[in-house]
Order: sequence, then C-alpha cells, then structure tokens
Amino acid sequence: MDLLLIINGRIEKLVSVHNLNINNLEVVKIDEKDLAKPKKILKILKSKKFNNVYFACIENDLQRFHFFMFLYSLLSFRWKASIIDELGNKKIFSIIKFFLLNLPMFVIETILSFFVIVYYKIKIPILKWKLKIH
Amino acid sequence: MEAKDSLKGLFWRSDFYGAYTEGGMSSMHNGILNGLLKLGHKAVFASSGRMKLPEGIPFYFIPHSKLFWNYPEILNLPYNRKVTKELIKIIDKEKPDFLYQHHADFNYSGTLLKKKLGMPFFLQCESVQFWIKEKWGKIYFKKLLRDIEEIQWHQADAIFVISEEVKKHMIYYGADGNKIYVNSSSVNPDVFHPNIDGSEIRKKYDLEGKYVVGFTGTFAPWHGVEILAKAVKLITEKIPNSIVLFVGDGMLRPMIEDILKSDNIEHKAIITGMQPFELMPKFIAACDVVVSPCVQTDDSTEFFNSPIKLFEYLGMGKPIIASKVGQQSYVIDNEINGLHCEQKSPEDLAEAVIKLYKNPDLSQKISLQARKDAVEKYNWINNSKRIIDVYQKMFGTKS
Repeated sequence: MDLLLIINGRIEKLVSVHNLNINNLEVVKIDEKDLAKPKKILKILKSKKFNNVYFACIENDLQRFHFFMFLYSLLSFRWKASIIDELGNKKIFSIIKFFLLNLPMFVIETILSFFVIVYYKIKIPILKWKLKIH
Repeated sequence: MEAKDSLKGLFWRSDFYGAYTEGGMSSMHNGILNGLLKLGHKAVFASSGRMKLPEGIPFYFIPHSKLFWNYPEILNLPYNRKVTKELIKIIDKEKPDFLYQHHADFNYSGTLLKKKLGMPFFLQCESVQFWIKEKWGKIYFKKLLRDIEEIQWHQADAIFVISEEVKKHMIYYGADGNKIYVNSSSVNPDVFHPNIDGSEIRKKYDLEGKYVVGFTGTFAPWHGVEILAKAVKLITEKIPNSIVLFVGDGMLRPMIEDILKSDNIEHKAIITGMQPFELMPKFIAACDVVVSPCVQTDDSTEFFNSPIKLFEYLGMGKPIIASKVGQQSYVIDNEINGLHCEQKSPEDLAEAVIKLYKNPDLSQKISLQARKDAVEKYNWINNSKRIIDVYQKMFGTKS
C-alpha cells in the first residue's frame, strides 16, 4: 500500500500523471498548515506500513516546506518518499542528499532569517520615523 | 475600445498563494481587470504566483526567493527589495499611470515604489492583517507586521476595502477614513447568468428530479459550511427527494464529513471537492436554491468579509438564503432579492429552505430581483469605475 498525502492538487490528475495505482493507494488530504503539526503528520505516516509515500501538490516549484516533508519521512522511517506535482515533477527523498544538502541549507536559512529579522526590526521603525508616522 | 483619457494600471499581487490560480482573489482581480478593459482602460499584472488573466493583459511573474522557503514570515521581508527592483523595470517598460497593490503580510513594496518614483499608489485591503493573524492563525513579529501595515496605510493615496466593516476596523486601528473607499465583491453578469444550463452537472452527480440545495466556496471558518452540514438532516427529512450539494473543499472538510456521518445522512449530500472557476456557473445552475450561511467567528468584531459566492448567486438569478451578518445583511433584502436566516442556526437555515421549497412564487420573485441587482449594482465594472473615478478625482486625467 502507498500513501498519497495531498497538500493541494487534484487526485485524478496526480494519479494519471504519475501512473499511480488507485487501488493500492491510501489518499489523505491535509492542509498546508498541517505541515507545522509534526504529531498529526507522523501519525498519518506511521498509521500503516506504506511502501511509498507521496507528498502531492499542484506545482513543486511553488510549494513551500519541502524540508519538513523530507524531515517527516526521515522521522517516520519512510525511506521511499517523494514530492510530486500535477505537472509530472517528482522530487525524490534521499537520505544522503538530506544530510549533505537539505539540512545544511535549512541551517543556513535559519541563520539568515535571524539576520533578516534583526535588519527589519531596525529598518522599519526608522522608516516610520522618517515618514512621520506616529 | 480605448477611452479618451485611457489610463493604465499596474496591478500587483504580493501575497504568497502557491500554485493556486482559482479562488475569490483571482475572481476579484479578473473582474476588475475585465471592467477596466470594458471601460477602455489598460492594465498590466505582476504577481508572486501564476494567474489566469483576461486576454491582452501583460503578465509578469516575480517569484519569492527559495532560500526563505520554510519560514513564511521571513519570506516576504527580503522579497520587498527584490520586487521593488523588478517592478521598477516593469514600470519603465509599461509606463503605468498608477500602482494598485493587493496588500500582503510584511510587504511594503508599494510604499518603496511611491518613495522612489512618486507614482500614485492605491492599496487594496481585505482585512486588518495583523488582527487576522492574531485571531485566526499564529502571529510572529506582531509589532513588525503592524508597523508595515501602518506604513502602507499611511503612504497609499487611496485604500480600497471590501466592506464598510473593514473600513470601520481599519479606522479603529489608525487608518485615515477619508482615503478609504468601499469596493465590495461583485460579479461578472455575463459569466454568471440565469440562462446557463446546469443539466450536465445534474446528470454527472445524479441530481435529476431532485431538489438541490447548493453551497459553493471554501470550507473555512467564516463560510459557515458546518451550519449547512448540520441542516442537511432537517432539510432532507422535510423535503422528499432533496439533496445538498457542497461545491468546494478546505480545512473543515473532515468536520463536514463527520457531521454527515454522525447524522447518518451521507447519502443525502455530495461533496464535489475543489472545482475549476469555469464550472462554477454550471454548478450554481444545477441548484434549486443556494445558500451563504456565513458566520461571525469572533464576538468582538463584526463580520467583515464580502463573500464572492453571494454575488455569483445574485448573477445567476437563483433563490438565495444568506445569514444575516455583515455585508450580507444589507446586500440581501429579506424576501426582496433573497431570504435571511439567523447565523449559526441550522434550524433557521433549514426553515428558510423549506419556505422557498413550499413557495415557488416567492422563489421566482426573489430570483428576478437578485439578477436585476447583480446587473445594476454588483457588476465588477462598477468597481473598476470607482478606481478610475478616485484616480481622476485625485490626479486629474493623467499622472
């Protein structure tokens, strides 16, 4: 049994574009916001012994939180995971790529985000003051 | 046909909306753009995502940086810089007369462009963003979010809002009421009209010979879709051969399915899932009565939304039942162009459906008036005209 976790997108289109076997598929629809709920996602991923896990969306290039999807795959030991879209794109989870690329990039993102916040916390009040907004 | 003093607007959608090309926001932008074209004006559209636009509108896609893909609050801050650079290039090429920005969290590119180029800057707001985040979601960096919103309100030459209630709310939080104009949702009466044939949908969903109660829209908190789900049992017990058609999808879907299951009436309702905008008129045409059971989600603030579905129903000339909240309480004139029901009351909603079922004359009367109101009062072209009128009042015929 495979798991199709639909964040957004149409099931018919996803099934046909990726040649998925609908009879061998458990389909769960989630909201994008659910990706911020580890308990909920891990519960779904661990609910059965799935052979393949597909996180599905309309377009991979415009879908956020790829890192978290792969992190959940790792934490639930679902090694055969991928992020698929209605356009036929597929981003496959690889444990080596996760530790050598995805994780370091996430750390960089976190550090840069900290600096972005500090920068704007200084910049915006100055802009307000310049524009005489009280 | 080009108007004598044809204006060109640069429309800028700055919110992150992923790969969605359908939905209320998309309908609104299309409605306003079509209206401008009909009035002989021109438009250019730039956006952070893809858009389905009317033919002849140049489109510029300015994606967010993928470096900040995992922290939604951070995403928009560095985007301000990138987008301002890109928009300056677009302005240089297209030479628009004004910028019309759809406000989004942490985005103040309209302000930056006004400061750099001095061009007229109109802002569209659906709500007070920091209030929405605080009440309906999670808020991080509240002061920063609020400061940026205040800067945008202050710098915009005019602000267009979707309801009187949003205007009041913004004034309460410090916006200047003199520059706020109400431009409620509307409808394109050429796309949504009573002559559309719903038989294809009736056939597909096995609705032939049934009394169909319809709902279209997102299954999200303020839409009141759960009230309709609770009313299904009451409606179908009293009206033989009736069925409730839920056209849409969303975060409340599991709750809707649970209600239908616990009332043991799953066979009396159909949930279609998300449908393309092009099919919406056909879905509404397939219904005998349509409902907009919106609810006020927070006791301290009036219902401030402007549900597009209500105006699409009006355009289709269908008997409408709408809860008496916010804008719905005055757009719908009880027993004139629709029927009111009390919000959050499945019993009252069911009673209104039964009343219309038993009274075809009343249904006919309100349907005719609904269509008339859509054509005369709630046509997107009026929204476009309001934007042009504000521009001309403030800046004359050309900037």
